[in-house]
Amino acid sequence: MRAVVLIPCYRERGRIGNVVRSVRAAFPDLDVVVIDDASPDSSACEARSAGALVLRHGCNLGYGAALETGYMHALASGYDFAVQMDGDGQHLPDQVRLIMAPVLNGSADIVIGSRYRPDGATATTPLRRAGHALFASVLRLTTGLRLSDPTSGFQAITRRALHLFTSGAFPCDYPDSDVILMCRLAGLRIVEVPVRMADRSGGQSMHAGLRPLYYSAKVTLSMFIVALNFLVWRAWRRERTANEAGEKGGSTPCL
Amino acid sequence: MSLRQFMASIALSLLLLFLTVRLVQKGKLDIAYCWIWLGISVGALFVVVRYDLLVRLSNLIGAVTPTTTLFLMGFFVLLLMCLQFSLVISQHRRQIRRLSQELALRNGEGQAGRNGNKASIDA
Repeated sequence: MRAVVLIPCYRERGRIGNVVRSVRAAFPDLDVVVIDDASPDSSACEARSAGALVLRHGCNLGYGAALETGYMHALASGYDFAVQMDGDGQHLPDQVRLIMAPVLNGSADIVIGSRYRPDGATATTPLRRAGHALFASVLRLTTGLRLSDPTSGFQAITRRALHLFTSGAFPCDYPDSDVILMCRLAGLRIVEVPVRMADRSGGQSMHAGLRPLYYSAKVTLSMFIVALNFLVWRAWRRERTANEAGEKGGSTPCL
Repeated sequence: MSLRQFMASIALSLLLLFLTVRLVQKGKLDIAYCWIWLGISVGALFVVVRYDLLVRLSNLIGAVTPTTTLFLMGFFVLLLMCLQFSLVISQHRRQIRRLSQELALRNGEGQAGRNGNKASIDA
């Protein structure tokens, strides 16, 4: 199977080179693609020097757009699946094999690496833990899916999911638990595996300070929109199926 | 409405109409966005000329004075304009994102062609 590692990055000078080198050392057969979201520092050069293919945005578009660019590249280049990880060194290359396993054995379309491990060792703050709990509760209530870390960006994604993500439905503004909800509603198989994560090795997180509060509100709204879009789409599909059945003179199939 | 009020209102409406046409003529305002301004200036002229209609409308909606009706209409038009501009900005944001992504992908294709890809893993 052909696979690619996608690493969105913004202002990761001094870290992104090490991340790329460690991924390449752990998986020499995988392509590493860094999507640089117009970093004003030398992140793109560092990534390129470390051996990654760099897709550089002309202007800063945000984390979600960087991910979408990566998905578009992965799909257009014919990869069977993609592994996405952060460029700040939090996601460890030696854990990649864990999240690839369910994809390789065909049991999942999306695999999420959870920082909450059975042994209780986690690398997170109380505020974020509260955010994770909130989104996990919303997902459990709406879809029945039980996840411990629905906001994790450490994921493995099959081609089937890449098709969905590049169809224009990907919520570029705030890709988070709303993406999981979208995938679940679209019928994709989602699996969570516990992984070890490290602390940030420097720089500033996009979830620093009080931003998680604002972010939580935006993602909650986005989840509502995703659910609403799904309901509209399902109603439209039901109506279309009924019309087609009516034209053929048959009965309406139950969806 | 007093004569001075009438003259001032006509002058302001004509000024807005003239300004809109002039900006379009100079190419500073796109035709696509000039309609709303033309509509406002022509609407203002109409209200001045047919003030009796404004009074009737005020009675209809229960406003005490025509000024209240004008204020409400102006407020509503401004809200609609804000909504329209939000739509336009959102559309432009999407277009810029798509353009930037396409450019990044095209540049990446060239780089990938030079490097050559490997990327296979045993299942």
